[in-house]
Amino acid sequence: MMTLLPKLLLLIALLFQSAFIYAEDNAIAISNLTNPARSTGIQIGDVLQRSMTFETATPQNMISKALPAKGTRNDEVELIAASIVRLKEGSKNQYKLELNYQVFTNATRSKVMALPAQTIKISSTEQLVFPAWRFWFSPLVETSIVNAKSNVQPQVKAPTIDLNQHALGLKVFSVMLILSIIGLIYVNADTQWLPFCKGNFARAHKQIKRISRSKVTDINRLKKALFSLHASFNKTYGRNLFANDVDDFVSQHPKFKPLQQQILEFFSLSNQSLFSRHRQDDREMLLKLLSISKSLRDCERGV
Amino acid sequence: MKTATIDNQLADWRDKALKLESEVKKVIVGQDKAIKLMNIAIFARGHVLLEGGVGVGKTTLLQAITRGIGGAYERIEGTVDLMPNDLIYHTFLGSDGRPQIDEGPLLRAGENLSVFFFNEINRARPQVHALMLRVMAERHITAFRKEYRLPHMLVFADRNQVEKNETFEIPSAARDRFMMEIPIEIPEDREIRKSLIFNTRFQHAEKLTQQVESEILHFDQLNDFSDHLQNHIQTSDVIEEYALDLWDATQNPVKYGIKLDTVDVSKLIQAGASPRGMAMLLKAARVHAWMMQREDLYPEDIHAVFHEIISHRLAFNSMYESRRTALARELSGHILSQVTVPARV
Repeated sequence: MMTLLPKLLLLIALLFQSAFIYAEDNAIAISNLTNPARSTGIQIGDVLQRSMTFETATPQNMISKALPAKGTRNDEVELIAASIVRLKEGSKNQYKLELNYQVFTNATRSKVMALPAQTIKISSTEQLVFPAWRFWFSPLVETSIVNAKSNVQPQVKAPTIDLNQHALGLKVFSVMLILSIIGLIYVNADTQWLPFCKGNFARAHKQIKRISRSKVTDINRLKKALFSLHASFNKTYGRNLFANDVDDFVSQHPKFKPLQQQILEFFSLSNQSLFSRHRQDDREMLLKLLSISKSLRDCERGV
Repeated sequence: MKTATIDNQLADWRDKALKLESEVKKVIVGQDKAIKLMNIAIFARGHVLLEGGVGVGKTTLLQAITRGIGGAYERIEGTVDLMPNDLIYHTFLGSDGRPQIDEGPLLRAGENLSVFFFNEINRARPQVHALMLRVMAERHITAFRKEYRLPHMLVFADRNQVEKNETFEIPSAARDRFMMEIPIEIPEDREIRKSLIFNTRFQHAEKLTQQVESEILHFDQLNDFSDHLQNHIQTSDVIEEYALDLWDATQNPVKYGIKLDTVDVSKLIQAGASPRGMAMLLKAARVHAWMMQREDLYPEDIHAVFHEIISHRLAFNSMYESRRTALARELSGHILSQVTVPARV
């Protein structure tokens, strides 16, 4: 019985110890483990980062001392930085541990490599375990070295478009457009807001046009139209112009020479309308007057 | 049918009028305008005053026209001692030695008198003017206890404005009886002048006028035809307004913006044209329209006779009378150039 008791006490002590150890292991709580997002296409010099978020009562300075040394190389992967950051402070602190590795292999073919498994003992009872993480290494160069000279191309400046020629064309076009617009106004405008549109016959033509388009019944409208054109002739001639004076008129104003027949026709129409007992249709007469006055206006403007 | 007859009659008379013109132009050169105006006066039944220098062919012109008109032609010379009764009768000793009285030039032809030519009318006394002007207006006279009718008589008078000695200015009332005063000027064309002095056919005026076909017109039908013609030619409202404006302008030229060089127009006019003068203007203008083969009066018809009918009727203030011929001509020209037609709507 005496020999059984020490054994029993030893067993109980071992059970307590194991229970304590188990309790100690459970004191660190890992909430997040992050590995690099990409496991292929890793090339020489690439930095790979993995991190772990955990909670523990162990103070930060103790954890920092437990971190692996920078420069530790394992299977051509070198640990280049290790840092611990406290995220939350309390009865149990929350930390984030970051480990940065850099790949230093000069393999010429793709191969499988791994960030090494890493165990960090932060206290006598607590440790952090990073499992190994595999990735594919991709070489930077082809298997054979070629002379770059054969691929070199001369640096020729890209040909540019000569804008001066187009600018000149644009200017010429603009000038022609403006002249054309002015010309069209000059030829067709009835308004008198331009100085060259204020001729006697332009005024008469505008009035006759207005009379001929008027919807209002006016028995004197033909007489008004004739009066307007007679007044224009008189102003241009400087005194009363009658049919007998047309030769003198065109000799004084040679630009109206081509219209001599039309001018005589006007006086004939005027005489028929104003003085004759055989009056013609007003509408027809107005149309003729409109045509004659337009010709006179164009002639006056030198069109 | 009736219209066709009237048209034919008008056309026939027009042919005769044009023939008279062409016949007279054959013997009188360089006076085409004067011939045309006299032709118009004949058909308008108006007396004519010829104005021009000495030896320009006034008498020959009248003789040629008279021959074309037909009828009797009488003539009297204006002198200082001419008395009114010299127109009515003259006395002489007969073959039996006894004094006799015979009818004067005014009565001699009776109703057949078609042209009475008063040469140098301004040399005659005002008493003679008075008688003559009365006969011109009334076309009849009482003498030898009976009335002499002169229904077809036209008086053609001339006056020489170059000479002023022993002349009597015809007063405006007397001038107004003449329908026209026609200037007879020396032709400016050098070829015509050369012909007048070198061509021997112009040396004998009587032989020259014999070349004109006689009695182209029938003088005793002219009055009736003239009335018919005057009724045939129509005037529109516009032309009537125009004629009134022209008349107004002869009385008040300033109103129409008329200006003359070296003359104050506002002081120029003493009296404008008379109603008789304007009536004569329209009468003559109608004849012109007929000659131009129209039935309506145009402004051009008035213009064709305006100077000759209006100028001698204008009475100027005395300070301008000495220049009346030139001023009257200039003023009438300005009136035509300033008075507009149509003047208003």
